[in-house]
Amino acid sequence: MEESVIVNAMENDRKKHGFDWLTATLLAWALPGMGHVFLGRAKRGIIICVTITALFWSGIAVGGVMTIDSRYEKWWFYAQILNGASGVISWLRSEREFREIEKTPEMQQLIADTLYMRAGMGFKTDRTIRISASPTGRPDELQMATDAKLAQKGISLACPEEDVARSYTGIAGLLNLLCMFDVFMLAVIGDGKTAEETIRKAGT
Amino acid sequence: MLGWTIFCNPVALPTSSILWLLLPLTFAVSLVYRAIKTPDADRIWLRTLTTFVFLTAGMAALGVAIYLLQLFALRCL
Repeated sequence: MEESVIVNAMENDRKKHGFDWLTATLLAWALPGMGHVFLGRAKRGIIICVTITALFWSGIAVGGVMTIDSRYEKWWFYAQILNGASGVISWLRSEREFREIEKTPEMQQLIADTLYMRAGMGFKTDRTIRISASPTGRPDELQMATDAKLAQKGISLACPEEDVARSYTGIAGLLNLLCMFDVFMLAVIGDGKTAEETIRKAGT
Repeated sequence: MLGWTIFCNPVALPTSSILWLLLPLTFAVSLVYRAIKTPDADRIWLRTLTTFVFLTAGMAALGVAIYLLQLFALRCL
């Protein structure tokens, strides 16, 4: 069979559905499964939505508000934020806790000291750098003080809850990334059904 | 005494229960994967079940293999 027939069939498939890949992928990120619903795969979309959302919020239920930690657990955070609205809501809640802790005079002093020390050592002094872990990879004084404050509030995470909560939320995010990729591919090249039909007809 | 609030405070999990929490995680991975990959939507649940069993058995086998390997390594040392 000529290659042009296959290419035309796939192009017709895509045109028939007329999917907007950007809208579909953004929807898939914002609310897991909604990308599939947008593409007319409602059953699969609902299954994905319920499973990923339940997995993510189970993780938050186990680990609490500090399961999402954009300051000291960056790699987990990148995976968790792939959960869309759920990830963003949880992130904003944890940031609020961090900001409340930072308001106290002793923490302000510690932040200023860390900033001064790192500036003296030639490190960047923007907000992201000054609150991250030390260059040696060990928790610095600021991080330990933050952990102590979180423990006082009863929201600090420790093993084994930490492992379970971060695994659940992080894997939920990575599963949603897989779904986003699937939605993107479906929106760009179609589901192949119309193309298959055209090719079969052309072959007979 | 601080009050416990769901989605705010962590749950105190007994260490012995961690392995059991692998099962819902494996099931969720199987279900999402099969929801994407199964061509016939009516067969998603059946395929999910088989994937779940394969995944769980595979991880158990891997765990046993690593356990035996470390036993062997400890004897050699």
